[in-house]
Amino acid sequence: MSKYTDFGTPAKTSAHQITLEIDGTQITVAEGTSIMHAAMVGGVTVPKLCATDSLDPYGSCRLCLVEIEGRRGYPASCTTPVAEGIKVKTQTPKLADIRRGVMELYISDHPLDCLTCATNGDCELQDMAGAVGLREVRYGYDGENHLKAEKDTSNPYFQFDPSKCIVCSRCVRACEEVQGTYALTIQGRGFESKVASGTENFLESECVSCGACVQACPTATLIEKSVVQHGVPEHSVTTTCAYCGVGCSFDAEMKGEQVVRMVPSKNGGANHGHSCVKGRFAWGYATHQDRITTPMIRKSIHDAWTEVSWDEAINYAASEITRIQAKYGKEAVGGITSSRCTNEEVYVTQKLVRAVLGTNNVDTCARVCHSPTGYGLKQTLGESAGTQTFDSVMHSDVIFVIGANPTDGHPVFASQMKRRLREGAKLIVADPRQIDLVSSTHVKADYHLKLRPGTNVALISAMSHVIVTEGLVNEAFVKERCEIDSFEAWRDFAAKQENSPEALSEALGVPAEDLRAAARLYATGGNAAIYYGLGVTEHSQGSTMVMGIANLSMATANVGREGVGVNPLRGQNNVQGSCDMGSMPHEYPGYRHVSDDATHALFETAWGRPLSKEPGLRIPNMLDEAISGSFKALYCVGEDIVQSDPNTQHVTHGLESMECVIVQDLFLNETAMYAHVFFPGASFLEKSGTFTNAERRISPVRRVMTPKNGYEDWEVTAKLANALGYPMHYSHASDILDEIAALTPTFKGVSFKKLDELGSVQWPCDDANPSGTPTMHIDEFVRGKGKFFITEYVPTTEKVNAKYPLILTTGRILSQYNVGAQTRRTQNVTWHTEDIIEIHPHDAEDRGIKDGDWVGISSRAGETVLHAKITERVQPGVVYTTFHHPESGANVITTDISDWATNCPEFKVTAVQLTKVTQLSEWQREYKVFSQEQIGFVQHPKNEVNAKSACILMPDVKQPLITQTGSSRLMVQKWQADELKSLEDCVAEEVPVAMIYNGISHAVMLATPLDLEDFALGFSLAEGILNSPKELYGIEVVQQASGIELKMDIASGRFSQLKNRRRSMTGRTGCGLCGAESLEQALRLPDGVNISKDVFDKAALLKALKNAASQQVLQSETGATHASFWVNPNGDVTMVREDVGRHNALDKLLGARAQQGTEAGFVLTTSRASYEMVQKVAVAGVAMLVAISAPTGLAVRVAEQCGVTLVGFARFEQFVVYTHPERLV
Amino acid sequence: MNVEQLITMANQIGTFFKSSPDQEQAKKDIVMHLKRFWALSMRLQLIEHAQQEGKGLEPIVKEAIIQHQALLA
Amino acid sequence: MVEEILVSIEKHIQAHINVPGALMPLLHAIQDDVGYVPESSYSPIAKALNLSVAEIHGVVTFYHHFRTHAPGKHILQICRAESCQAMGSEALEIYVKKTLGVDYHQTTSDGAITLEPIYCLGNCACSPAASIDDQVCGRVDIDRVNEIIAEARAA
Repeated sequence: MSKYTDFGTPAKTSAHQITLEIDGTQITVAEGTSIMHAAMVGGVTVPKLCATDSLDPYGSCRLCLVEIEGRRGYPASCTTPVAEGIKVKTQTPKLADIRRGVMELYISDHPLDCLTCATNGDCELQDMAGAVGLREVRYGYDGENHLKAEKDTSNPYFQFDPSKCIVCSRCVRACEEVQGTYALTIQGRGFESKVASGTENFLESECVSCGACVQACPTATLIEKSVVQHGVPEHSVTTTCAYCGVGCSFDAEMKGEQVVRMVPSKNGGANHGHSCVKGRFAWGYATHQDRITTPMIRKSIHDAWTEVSWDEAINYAASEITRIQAKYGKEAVGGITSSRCTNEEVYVTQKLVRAVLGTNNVDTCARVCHSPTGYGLKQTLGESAGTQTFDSVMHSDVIFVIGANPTDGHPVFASQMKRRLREGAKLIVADPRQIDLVSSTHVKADYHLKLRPGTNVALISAMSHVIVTEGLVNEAFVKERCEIDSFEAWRDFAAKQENSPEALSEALGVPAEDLRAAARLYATGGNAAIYYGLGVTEHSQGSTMVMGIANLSMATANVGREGVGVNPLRGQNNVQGSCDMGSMPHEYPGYRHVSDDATHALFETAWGRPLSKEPGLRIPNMLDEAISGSFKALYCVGEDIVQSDPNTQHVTHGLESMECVIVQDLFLNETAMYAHVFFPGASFLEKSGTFTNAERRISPVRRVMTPKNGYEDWEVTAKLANALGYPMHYSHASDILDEIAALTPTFKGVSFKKLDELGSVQWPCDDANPSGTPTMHIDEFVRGKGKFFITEYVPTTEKVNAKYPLILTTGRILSQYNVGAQTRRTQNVTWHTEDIIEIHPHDAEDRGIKDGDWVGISSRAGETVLHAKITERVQPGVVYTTFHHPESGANVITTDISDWATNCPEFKVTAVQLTKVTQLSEWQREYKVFSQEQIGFVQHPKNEVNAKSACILMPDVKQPLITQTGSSRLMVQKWQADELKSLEDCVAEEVPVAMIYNGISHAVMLATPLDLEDFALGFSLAEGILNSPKELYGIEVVQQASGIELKMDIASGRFSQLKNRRRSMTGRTGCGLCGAESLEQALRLPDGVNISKDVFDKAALLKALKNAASQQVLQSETGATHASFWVNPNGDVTMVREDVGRHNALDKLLGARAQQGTEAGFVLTTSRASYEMVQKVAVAGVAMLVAISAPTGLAVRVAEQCGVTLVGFARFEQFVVYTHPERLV
Repeated sequence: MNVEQLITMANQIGTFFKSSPDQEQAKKDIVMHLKRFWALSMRLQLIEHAQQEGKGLEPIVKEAIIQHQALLA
Repeated sequence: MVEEILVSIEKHIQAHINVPGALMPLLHAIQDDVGYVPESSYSPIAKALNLSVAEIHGVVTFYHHFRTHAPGKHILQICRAESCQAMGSEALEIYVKKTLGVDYHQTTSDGAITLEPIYCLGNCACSPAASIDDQVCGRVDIDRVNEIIAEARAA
């Protein structure tokens, strides 16, 4: 499948070129290149297994041996460097012999199941067997071998099948060299050698699921489960990841419109063939059942949604905006774009707001993350962007990470940074928390400046003081490149005694000597590069700190060449791009102020509408104005301000005050719950455009499948503009990029065509730099001379006191992304099921908090409840949480305090108190009710679609579907009016739920995953385990891969009673789960079922339906029983059994049939079809189960997997076929 | 908009610029920042507040607004 | 695991934390002191030395010398190198395995003796050789090995 040449070993660069002869051809390559690589350059392929050009040569497989004239033996071409004038032969009879012998040994311990192997056709071992001409294997399988080695399927995305492993170590080396995690090793030696993690399985190991091992594996040993499921892909499209600001390039490998896997593109400028767990694996959200694909409108947020056509939705939105502007004025409306939008989408949205709505009230989510970067770097250096490429880090000698957590937030870049650190670069980390970079495998920071949250500017002042007073300023650079007046003012300020490390040490909580040493290292350690994240920007002095960072880099001449610079690590994929595209209220695309006459005239002419010269409202301003009554309508594209912005109550109050909120998104996000119009959005797989990453790299986003909602997002915005009377006639996203290029000097040379040619391009891209600009400010700063700013430390007004003695700071985690709307809808929840609060052991002890306790977190803004994790990663006085789950309410507690220059919220500092609690906070309880009501407002339409397969949702039976609604959707075939139609249906889910009392799993039941706390309490009372609700101290609902655990803390007296009477309990359902006490036991597929090959006539089914009811004797007398019928192929009911229990009736019927013979036929039941009913039928080998009522989602999946035809809603003249429709003729 | 919010934000801006050695320049910078980044409606509300005693405003902010009113409006 | 063992391991880790290339000396120190390298020590060792658990596992399993479970009171090693094999160590090992009821790397049910193979004790002149704990014995025949086992059990 791969469209890339594998050169076997990495390319080398050298000034010295070497010429050699390989198989008679003269080849010239850089010194240090391997013979293997040189051969590939010359078009000669050498057989290989353990070599691949993303890894250093290893020389273990012995397939790549060559002969070199005049040298003895058969050296491995991967580990032998080229030498001047040597003559190499890659194919000789002797080499052929050796290679065949080696391959024979490999194959002697490898299963010969190529035809049914998932990588058939995409397997290097298979290729090599062919290449060396292997014709027989003499050794047989009688001796010891590894063919029965057990498969490890613990990782949700890939599997490890050691029976297929050739122990080439490519996976081990990829984990080390590419990812830098070292989670794999070769266990043992000799025949016992095995790839292992030193832990139970992959999931338990240190593995971060980046997939580098899977990509490196030459066989099917490590393979994506999606490839096992779908088979080898047939075409691929290069696109760009929609997660973080690294902007990895991916090849979406496809089968028609089905993504088989995402493979990081070897040509990716930002990622060079590497990826993280999100980009490579967490794309399933794009086709998740929660997606809304039909437009909806409603009058009030307390009404149910009405599904409407696109035209109706667009016209309704347009009429509302028009009405509101007529009534309240032009400035009463605005728009918000997201960093998850493409550049083209952001551009058309800001154009709509500015040109069509006539206001500059447009903002983007960078407001709440990197707006201080835009401001601070523009003021000092002259451009609102980072100065370097990611590759620049490979030239750094000192890496200074401030307020960023690259291994979690920017994992692919972190891998590159770690590679440089392993090569010996020094590392300074400034972070209140011990992030992984501080100390992890083969990485250890030279200095960890564990500063108190909110004291960044004091840190930069103290370091500046050292640099200024110890003579470490690069005077020549400053004199040549910077505004000298501003430098002198800054120098005098920094030299003040009050800015010395000794004076600021106490405020910072960092020893003065560490501050001095770190400053000296930064200034004198060679190329020094600063990498920073939201720990810098999300503060009341965020912009001041950005300027302080720029000051430091200018004073030490650490800007303007490779290996140095000021590098903001952007949170989301298109933060840089959305800012570039003019989505800030004061700037047009290219960071040109709205009041600038020339720019204003340019856009007025181009857009043909009068434009405002006044800056518009920022997001927090819009909400404030909404609450005060003057802002009335919002068009919010791809952004979820309710979850991501601070002080949730304030945000929702603002939204509730508006008359028309239009949300465009994939899902009913938190903001959409306050919306009046919902435009379904398209996923990144369904649209074309561009994303711009943290290094200003513009990369192509390419459509690989038809938008499920019908339109790419820019098309929706254009339709809205058209409905508002402003024609936008773009035929393709490339037209929009052309318009951007025409109007923005820094993008002048960018086009889809150029991106197709170059893969990606870093702006500025203009006539002077037609292939882009990797490093900025080389000869002069964009603003001319660099400008220093005085950065006085001003403590935040968010202060700790007796009532709120702790500081809460927030961050993110590898497996989840931002508000989690995408990653929560993937198997990434395996690693992070909930947000937890980290607290230092001292603070926990003071409060009597134990690991895992529910703790209430209260701030001046609000209160929420999370589980506690006691850890020394945080320092005393500081607590930490993530914000990936809406019900966590992390932003219920964050405050309105914001950056002085940009209003970027101070997410990183909130004074809080923690107390042990037993229930959710009031906000959380209200949220639960509200969100469930809102989800209920969405109809589940029975959209008619063309689908051959009966079932579109077919996850593993052992992994139950746990959905917010307790239901799921799938494709079915409905027989009605003599016609079979495909349509989408909604089925109830049943999930194994374990009742766990004080840590002991007591019983497992299948239940619909709703109102589980009520279930736990009700069950406990009904079973007499508890006498009163007071005896239940707390319930925790924990989602596991195999079901849900209800962990209850109950009174100890009750618990000892329970222990005494365990196993004598009565009253469980007759479902076949009796005796199952843990989740693992609950869901099992019947082993080795042998389903009959019978086919049935639809007429027989309809006939049985008509006649069955009359045969229910007990039912007709009592009206209280279920029945199961045996129906023969003619449709005659030949046996009936009745019982008060549906399972019992079925067991009786199957029992009777087991006694009385094996007449062909199927089972008809008067009840619904649950999972155990299908299981029973399958065990009996019966081919079809017809239920009068509905099946559950799990029943459908079990039937599909066992080969049973499952029919539901069989009444009167109609029925619905859920699985295996081929059996009904 | 809630004027208290505007006062807080304006004072924060004042705090940054007042550390400049040149106080006249600082006032100009404060006003220019407001002019470049604040919506007109917010600026007008702030001017109105500054004119009516300007309660809660840092002295330098109040002076800057009054002094450069024409530029701000 | 017994609290004391954890404490000893932690003591060794601390003693090696700033030693370059500390892993091998540390593993030896732990095994010499505690008798084995428990798997539960991988994580603290990895953390202290900035290594991964997998790397520790790889090293421990590569060297037959290291064991991850507590051995018996005494360790009986039978030499399997060339000289000893030539002098009948194969028969000896079959006998010992049968007598003790264990295979290599296993411990007798009474916890007295752990049987280990070894490749040359440097006592080739007196093959076949064996050792009990650190004491090397030469010309070990079945009677001699019975004596060694009996003495060890009695001790």
